[in-house]
Order: sequence, then C-alpha cells, then structure tokens
Amino acid sequence: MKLWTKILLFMVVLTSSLMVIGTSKAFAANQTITLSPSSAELKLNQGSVTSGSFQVLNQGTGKFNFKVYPAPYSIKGEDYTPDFEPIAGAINPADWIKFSVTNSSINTGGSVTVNYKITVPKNVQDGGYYLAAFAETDNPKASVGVTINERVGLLLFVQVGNNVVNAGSVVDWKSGFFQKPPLISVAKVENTGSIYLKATYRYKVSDIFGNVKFSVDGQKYIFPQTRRSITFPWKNSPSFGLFKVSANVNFLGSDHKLPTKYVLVMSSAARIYSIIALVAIVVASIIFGFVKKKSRKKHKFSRRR
Amino acid sequence: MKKLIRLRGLFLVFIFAIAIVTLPAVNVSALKYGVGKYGTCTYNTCGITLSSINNLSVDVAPISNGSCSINKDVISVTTGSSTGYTVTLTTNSGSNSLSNGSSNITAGSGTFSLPQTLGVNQWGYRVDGSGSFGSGPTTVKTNSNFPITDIFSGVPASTGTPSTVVNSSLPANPTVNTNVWYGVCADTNLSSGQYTGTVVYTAVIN
Repeated sequence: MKLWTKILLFMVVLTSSLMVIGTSKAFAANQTITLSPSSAELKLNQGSVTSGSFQVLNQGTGKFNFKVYPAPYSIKGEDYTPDFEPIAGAINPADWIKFSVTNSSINTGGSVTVNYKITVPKNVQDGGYYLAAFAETDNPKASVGVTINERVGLLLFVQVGNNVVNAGSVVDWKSGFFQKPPLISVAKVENTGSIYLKATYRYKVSDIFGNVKFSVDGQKYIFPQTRRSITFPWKNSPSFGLFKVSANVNFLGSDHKLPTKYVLVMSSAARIYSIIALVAIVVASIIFGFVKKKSRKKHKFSRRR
Repeated sequence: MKKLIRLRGLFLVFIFAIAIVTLPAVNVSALKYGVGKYGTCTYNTCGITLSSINNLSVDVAPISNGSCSINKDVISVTTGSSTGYTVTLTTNSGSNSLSNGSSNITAGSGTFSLPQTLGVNQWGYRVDGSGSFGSGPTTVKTNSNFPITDIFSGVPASTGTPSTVVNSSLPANPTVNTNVWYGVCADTNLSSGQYTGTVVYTAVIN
C-alpha cells in the first residue's frame, strides 16, 4: 500500500509540473483603422435601389488619408481564403455600388460616415451576389522599405429575388482521440443551394463528468455550391486531460447535433512523463512482487524449520 | 496468462490514477480561462479594427556571398464578430518585387502552404505558427550570412490570390497581435540603393 501511495504522490508532482502559465504583450500601433459594421445582409429585387452607410474611424495615434472602393467577394478552398478579384465571365456586383466618399482623411479619434447606394440591374438572375466595401489607408510611398496600408472591409451578402434554393448539410465532423494541445475539432458544412446560408454553432468541451470546460458560440456564412471547414480550437486547453467534445450546428431552421467524441489531450512532455510513470509503475510492481515472493518464501522456509 | 491479467490490471490502475490526478489540473486551467465564452455581437453590428505601422525598413549590407536581414511588423486585429476573422496580405499592384528604378528584389518562390528559404536578391514574409511556416521563433537578424534557414512566402501581387496571415474562427476581443516577419537577402550583384514596395493588409470577418 505504501508503494502505491508513493507512486501516486510521484504522479501528482509530475502532473503539477505540466501546467503552463501564458503571458501576452500589448504592442503600440502607429495606424489604426476601424470599419463598422463589418457585414450586412440585403434582400433586393431586380431594378431596385437601396442605400446604407458605414463608419470609418481613426483610433490610432496620427491622422491618415484613406480611400473607399468596392470589390467583388468570393472565396477559395474549404478554409475560405477571401478573394476580392473579379472572376472572368461572372457578374461583378461591385459595379452596382456607389459611395458618398471615395477619398478622405481622419484625425486621431475622428470618424467619417460613408453612405452607399446599391442599384441592382434589371436583367440579373435571382440568386446570391457578394461584394465588399473597403476602406484603405492611403500612405504616401516611403522613400525606403515597405510601405504598409491597412484595409478593412464591409462584406455585403445580397439576395436578389425570391427564386432561390436553400439546401445544405453537415458532411464531416472530426475530433481525433489522441491530440496535443490545443484541442482541435473540425466540422464541414456543405451548401448545395443557390444562395448563401448562415450557420450558427455551439461547440462544447466537457470533462468526463460533464462539467463544461470550454464552450464557444459562433456563426459562419457558407457560399452556395461550396463546403466550409469550420475549425474549433480550444486555444488554452491543458497539457493533459480526457474530454468529451460535442457540437450543434444550426442552419435553415434545423439543429444538427453532432455525435459526442472523446479526446485525450497530452502534450509531448505529458506523453514522456506518462511513459516514465508507466515504466516506473511496472518496475515498482515487479520489485514489489519480487519482494513479496521472497518474503513468502522466507515465511514458508521459517515455518518448515 | 496470470501475468497478462496482472499487467492489464496495472494498466487500468494507471489510467484511473492519471484520471484522478489530472482532474484538479484541468479545473484550475479552466478557471483561469473563465468559462471559455467570448464576447460576441450579432450580424450587422460588429466592427473590425486593423492596426500596424505604416513603414518597415529591412536594411541589408550585401556581400559577394549574400547576406540577409529580418525585421518584424506587428498587426493587431479587434473584432467581436463571432464569425472570427481573416487577415490576408498582397502588394498594392501587379508587381510583387521591391524596386529601385529598374533594379528589383524579387519575391521569394515560397508560398503560404509551401514556404521556402530565400534566394539571393529575394524578399518574403513569414508568420510563426501559421500555414507551414513552423513555430519559429523567428528573430530579428541583421546582415546574417546567406543562406538563412528561416522559410518565407513571397508576398503575392494584388492580382494574385492573397496570402493568409491569420485565419481565426474566434473573435479578436480583446485585440489579437500577430508578428509578421519580413526577410531580405542580397548580394553585391544588386545595385545598391533604396528599394521600396507597398504591402496591403486586409482584415475582414469570416
């Protein structure tokens, strides 16, 4: 019994040493541009005109010039790398939008309201059209080195007409059993319709007794005829632990409960410590067994005498 | 057989002990993290903020065998959007070279998914822990002998597919900082002078 107590104490010490304290630094930035809101959904008809506005703010330490312009918005790959270049042969919805301000400057702490007007052509088909309204700092080219401009975008999701197909499904849900921190799970949602869909999700990580250790609620747009990979990282997951992972994805009025998965998180150090601990236990057991056997023999021998 | 059963028993005891020992550590970590919920805002109400410096110099003193320098920029993103966010970068034109009149430092041949070491008279960027760049850590270097082992991606031209700097499925609230490292390698075949170029960072919600 004493040997087991010693082993348990040894493991307590090992596990305690696995805990890591994280720190972060704040950095001062020279130029800070904000755009609000960062997305908008519009439902329009052919030939209709609508207007809206967004704000550009300077929350940095110096005045800057900026320009406002539109771009078509599409995505590449399942990880949804945004792309703002026109697609050859495709309708460019960036041609539909006009801004009240295209060039301006903002002093520190100031803001500029930009009004926009969208005119939908009469001859476009029903469906989804996607564009971005950008505000970009316009720094004069430096005489040396890399000049850096920052741009922030308002993403516009435009539904034209009502003759659209809404359809989609969850096509994949993965969370490997053995993982190094951070614990990561991935779900893939496929949009098989003709218009973007908006998925909301709740991702939850619990310990084996059901106590929630981490949860996050989020939302994603999924473009028609694409699959989107949604990655759920628990950035501060501990170095070691057994967890239950579950998720719900809700879109088009249906809640999709994804099967619960078990994940054993072990950092590289934790894996090494566990192997050492396992070896220690086996060795200790062999020694314990040997000593016990020897004492039994001795006992037998003394009884014979 | 008996030995096998004993070993299996030992293994079960080990797993059980680990589970008991681990639970308190997990609890402590979770408490430090809060309940893991982020501040979120609904569609059409979230803003997005992007910060960085407006000019970055990477000075190199070329030698015949080549020398390399690395410097860093820090980009900061703030958004409460529960969609997460993406930051990409490109140059601001159809060219992705740094130029000095007719003389150019060309973009490295690496990409975000397949970064490469820089050749002489090439430049590029890297982000530790992102894409296939590896964890680094990258450090500031001045006039290190060519070649350097750090791997870089070329900065794509504005007409190409933007390179990802950060792709997060979580909001950036509070502000999230990311180091973007720029490297340049040059030899004496390159005309000396001031080479310039423009990089555009783009931040949008996911």
